[in-house]
Amino acid sequence: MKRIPTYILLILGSITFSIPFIWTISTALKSSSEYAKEPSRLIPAHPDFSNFAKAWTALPFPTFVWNTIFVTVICTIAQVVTGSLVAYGFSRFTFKWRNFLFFTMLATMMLPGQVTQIPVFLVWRKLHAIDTFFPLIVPAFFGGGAFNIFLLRQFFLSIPRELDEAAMLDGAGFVRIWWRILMPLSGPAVASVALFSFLSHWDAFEAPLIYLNSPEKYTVSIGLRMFQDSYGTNFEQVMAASLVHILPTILLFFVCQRYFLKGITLSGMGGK
Amino acid sequence: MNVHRLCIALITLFACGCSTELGAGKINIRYMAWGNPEQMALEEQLCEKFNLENPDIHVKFLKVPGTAYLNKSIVMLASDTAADVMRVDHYNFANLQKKGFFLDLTDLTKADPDWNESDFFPQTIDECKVNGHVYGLNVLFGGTVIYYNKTMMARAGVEDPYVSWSKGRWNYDRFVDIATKLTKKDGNGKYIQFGTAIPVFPSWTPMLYGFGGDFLNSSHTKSALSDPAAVAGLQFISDLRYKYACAPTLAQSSNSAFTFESGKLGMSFDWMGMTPRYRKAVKDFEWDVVPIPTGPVSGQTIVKGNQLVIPSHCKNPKAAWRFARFITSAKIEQLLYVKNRRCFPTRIEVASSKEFSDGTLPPSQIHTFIGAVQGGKQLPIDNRWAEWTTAMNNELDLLWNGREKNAKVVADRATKVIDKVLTEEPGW
Amino acid sequence: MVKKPSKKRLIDRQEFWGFLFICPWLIGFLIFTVGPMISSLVLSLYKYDLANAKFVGFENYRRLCTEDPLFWKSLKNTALYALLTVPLGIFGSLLVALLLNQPVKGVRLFRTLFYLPSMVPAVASALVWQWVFNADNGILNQALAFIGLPNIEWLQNEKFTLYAFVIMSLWGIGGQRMIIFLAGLQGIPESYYEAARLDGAGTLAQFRHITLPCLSPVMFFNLVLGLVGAFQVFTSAYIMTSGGPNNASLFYSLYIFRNGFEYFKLGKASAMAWILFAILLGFTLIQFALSKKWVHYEGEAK
Repeated sequence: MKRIPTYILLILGSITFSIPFIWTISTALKSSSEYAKEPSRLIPAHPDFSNFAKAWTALPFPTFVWNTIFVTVICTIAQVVTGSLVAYGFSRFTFKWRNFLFFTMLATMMLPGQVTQIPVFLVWRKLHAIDTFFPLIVPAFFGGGAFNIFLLRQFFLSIPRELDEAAMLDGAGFVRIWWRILMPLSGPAVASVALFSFLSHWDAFEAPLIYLNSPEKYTVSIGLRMFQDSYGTNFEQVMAASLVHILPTILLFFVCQRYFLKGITLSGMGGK
Repeated sequence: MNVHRLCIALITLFACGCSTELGAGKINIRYMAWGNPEQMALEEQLCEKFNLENPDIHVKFLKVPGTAYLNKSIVMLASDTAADVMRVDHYNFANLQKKGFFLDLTDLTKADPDWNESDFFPQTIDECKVNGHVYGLNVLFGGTVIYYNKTMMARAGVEDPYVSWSKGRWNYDRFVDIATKLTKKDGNGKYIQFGTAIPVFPSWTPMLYGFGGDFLNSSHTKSALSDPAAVAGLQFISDLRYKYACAPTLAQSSNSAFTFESGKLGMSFDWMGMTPRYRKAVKDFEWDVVPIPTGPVSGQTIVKGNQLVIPSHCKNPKAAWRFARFITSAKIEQLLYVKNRRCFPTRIEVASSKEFSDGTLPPSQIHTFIGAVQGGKQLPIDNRWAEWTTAMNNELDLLWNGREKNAKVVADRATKVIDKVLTEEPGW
Repeated sequence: MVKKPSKKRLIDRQEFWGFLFICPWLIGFLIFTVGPMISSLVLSLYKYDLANAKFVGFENYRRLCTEDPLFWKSLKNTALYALLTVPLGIFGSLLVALLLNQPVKGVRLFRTLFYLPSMVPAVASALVWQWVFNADNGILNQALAFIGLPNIEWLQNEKFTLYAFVIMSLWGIGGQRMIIFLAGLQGIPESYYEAARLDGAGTLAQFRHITLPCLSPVMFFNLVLGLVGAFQVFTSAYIMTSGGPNNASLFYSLYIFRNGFEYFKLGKASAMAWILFAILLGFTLIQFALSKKWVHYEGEAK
């Protein structure tokens, strides 16, 4: 009984928040002639699934999907590992210039990428890495950006130090403490960083656009933009392609929830 | 641990990613363009055709999404990694040319016995020339015309615009008259059909030209929008919406509510390149094209193309030239512009061929296209175009959204911002 | 491995290991970031249009501040946007996170539904929002009509456009920030609440004395990142309104992009970027200074 207001809020909220998605589905299910005549109707009069097939076959999407999975999976793993190492360094150690370096790291996100786009490109050209996946993947091996590092640092800082000290007394080294204490105790945080980095690489457009030239190396997000056209965009196909594009992320998100369920990670800690 | 194995797998994958298939012993060049998936598929075929016919060259086609094309082009040009042949929209041609990014093709044209300037419509050559030197080959050239819904006209019992045109009475008075008659509301006072629509910039320019107005003075140093003729043109465009109420407001037309293919719009100013789309999307009404109505001063429309350029750092300009020539050859123009009706051929021979005049599929009045190109006027596109048009359009927004109904007031504001841009040294 | 290190050895090892752990970032920074950052700083002192570069000192900065009304307009738009969206976003996503942290059936599904708007790709969402904000029959105006309010031309009337973007940002409160709060909520040991309940603390007191302090590190994160994100808002304005009408949605990053990639004023664009950099760094430093008063870290390295 107590839960009824919660459910009402949840259901109302879900409806409101699903509107953009519902509209995407609705448009994807309209035939081009129906979209031309009734672009604003919510429920298509004659649901038409052919847009999915059309969008899928208009471009070599299987190749694009494979490329995107390749880049995204490597980046996500690399980013979680290196990002948490760096966060561990910033949160658990005192060393010279730590605060200065930490602010420098934060500062790297404050300069809009547009003005460093060409200079960064020139660095990669010097490394002969244009039209390869290196420019997309390698940054993930260097901590993967300030966002992840800062986020994980915040979580690491909220875990009591007594736990590391106890482990250290038991003879654990720093790497072991990072892997066996901080990472498991930050389960939801690590899961969110993994999720965010998956999503951001899955949707990444700028870097693939700038660094990839060969269509056989393209990612899905470049393919999606191809449907936009100066001579009138086929919105039904854009929407259908977008749905195909986000389907894996929805599934992943749903599965990831396992790490957000109360009590799994922290039961051990409460008893310590 | 399997880390070792994973590393090897990764390195292998990277190595695959890095190797580019080089045609053995061939000159490898790259061609970059944008377009929707269908257009890209067609150009891909052209590349394959070229590779078959030219065993010593291999062209690789780089497709780039249109909305990000300029961004990518700039990064590539600035880092000397641009494709050997790239398509550039004329809007950006002058600006990029001025930075010295493009190869001067004049010598290549002179050395090529098969390339004669007189084979092409002079307008298409003009666009590619800077101070008498050729910097590009024109493709996807075209102008705006009026697409109209024949079925809607017949139902409303108004004279077919094409008949009016052939009788020499196709002017803006008649245009407004027809548009007003075609505009309809339902029982609740909600509009269900409009006679015409104010197109996006720059497709409304023919109306400005028709009243004798222009954007800039002849030397492109000052705004000409405050001249009475230009003000009259702008006022007329605004009046379509707020005085005659025969064109939807921005709010009414948002969300593609009154597109031409919806069948709820009588007459639409649009580029010739829309033909393939309308052929595909329009199923339940008949349509055709007619020239722009004659205004108090002229009935000129606007013309514009894209250019195939060779970057100045290109290592194989001769191979690149051969490919650019191939794309602009009569054979390929037949395919692009006659069979697929994508824009308009640059070669007079192709435009005057019997196949081009074939009107079995709509539109049937093909000579409308030829007339539009022959009588068309170029937009004043220079190296500051993006900047002054953005500034101008911001002011014109006031007129288009009805916040200000007096065109003179808005034109004066636009003049001020345009002049500010033009008097400033470029680069600030 | 040394079993029981002396205090002195531990500090030595701290210096070394700390540096070692941040090395991945430091090396990446030195190779890929520091050079381009310096070059853009240098560029901001030049008048550069991709073809010609001329050293002009601080002239780009002076011209921006004294001769460019659009610079101020874009800064004002962006600041107003940040002022509205950052607090709204943080409180909204905290509320949603609290709601979605309830142990109810189907909570996974609800979380997914709340997160959905953040997954819809930008190309698709532009169209979605045009439909939501459509003046004639958009869903938002229908809702307004339902409670008796007049139609608003959200994207056509310059008075409302900025607020349309603020409303649009509300659909993001079920997104990234909410997940971060949720992760933070999950990290609060249940034993804290049990102890508080034994002391007879009510729900509100528990929230104030346990939840809020324990969430303060992620709250702080969301505040810093929220501000940085709001000041760099770009894609939605670029795709939906391209800055109009009458520059009402000309955001700072959009204006940088235009100057750099449409007008080829790379010196000016760099100067603008560095002004934004200075603003954001200033705000962040202030936030860090203030954070000592309210952010509570369990495991801070002293």
